[in-house]
Amino acid sequence: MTPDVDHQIVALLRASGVDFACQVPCALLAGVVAGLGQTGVPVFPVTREEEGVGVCAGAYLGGRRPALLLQNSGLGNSANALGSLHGFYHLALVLLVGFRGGPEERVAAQKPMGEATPGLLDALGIPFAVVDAADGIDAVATVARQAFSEHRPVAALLRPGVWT
Amino acid sequence: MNRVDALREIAATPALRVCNLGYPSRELFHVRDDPTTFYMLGSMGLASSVGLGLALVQSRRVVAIDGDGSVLMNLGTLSTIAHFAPAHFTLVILDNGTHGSTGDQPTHSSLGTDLARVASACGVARVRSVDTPQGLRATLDESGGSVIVARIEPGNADVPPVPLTGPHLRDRFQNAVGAIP
Repeated sequence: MTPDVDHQIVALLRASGVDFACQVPCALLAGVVAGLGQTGVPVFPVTREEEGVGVCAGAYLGGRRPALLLQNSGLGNSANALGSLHGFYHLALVLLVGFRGGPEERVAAQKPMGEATPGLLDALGIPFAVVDAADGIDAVATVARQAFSEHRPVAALLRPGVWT
Repeated sequence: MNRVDALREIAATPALRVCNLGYPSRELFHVRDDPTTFYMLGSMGLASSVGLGLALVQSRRVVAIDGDGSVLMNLGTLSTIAHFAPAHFTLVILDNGTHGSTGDQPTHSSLGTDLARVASACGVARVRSVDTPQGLRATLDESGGSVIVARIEPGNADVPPVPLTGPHLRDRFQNAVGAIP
C-alpha cells in the first residue's frame, strides 16, 4: 500500500462532492475506506454489494452524493439493482472498484469476473474508466463528476498497479 | 388483515415511505398516493435498504414497506439495520408467506422461518409482531426505531401498475424531501 495514493483518491472523491459511502471490503481499497472515513464522510459497511447499491440510492434520494466502494466481483452481485434501480430512476452513484482478475492475478477464481467486468458494465450502460497505475487516478474525479452531473452510476476500475 | 388494510394504516402514518415492488406499490398507490412515497418498481429486496439510506441522511421519519419474500432475498439488511439504523427508521415486513406478485408461490416464511426472530437474532433491539390493523397502527404510533412483522392474508387487490416514470418519481420524491443533489 502507498498511503499517498490512498490520500489522493480520497481527496479526489471529496473534491468531487462525495459525502456518503457504503463499502464491502476489498484488500485494494482498505486504505481509501479508512481515509474517507477520517475526512468525516460516513462510510457504512454493508453485507453485500447489492445492499450497498440500495442504501446509496436512499442517500441520494435524501440529497447526498454517494459512492460505493467494492471489488469488481461485487458488480456481478449488483447488476439488477444497478439497472432496475439506478438505471430506471436515473440516480447518481460513484462506483469505486478494486479491479481484480487481471494479468497479474494469482487467485484463479478472480479471473472470470475480471474478464467479464468491462462487458458487464457495457451491457448495463454504465460508463467506466480503467486505471492501471497511480499516475492515472485523476480519472476518479472525472468519473465522480460525470455520475453527479448525469444522474447515473459511473465506475472507476482501479487495478492493483495503482498501489505498486 | 389483508395487505390493503395494512397499507391504509401505514399511509395514515406521517413519514417518508419506501414501498416494495409489485402489488404492494400498486395497492399503496391505489390506497393513497403521496409525493412522500417512493415506489420501488424494480430491484426486489432493496426497499429496506433504500429506506435505510434515506433515514441515514435526513431527520424525518422513514417507514420502509417490505415483504417476506423480499426480505428473505436480502437478509443481510436486517443485520445492517440492527447496527446502523437511526431511531426514526421503521421497517414493516408484510408477511403473507407467499410471493404474492408472481402467483403466490410459498416463501420460506411459510415453511417456518420466523422473520421476527431473525431480526432479533440480527440484533434489532425492538421487534414487534402484529396481525391486526389496530395492532399495526398502535405499533407504528410507538416512538423509536423498530422492525414490525405484520402477518397478513395472501392475495392482491385488482389494481393496475403504478403509472409513473422513474425520473418523475425521483424528482417528486426529492422535492417532497427537500433534497435536490
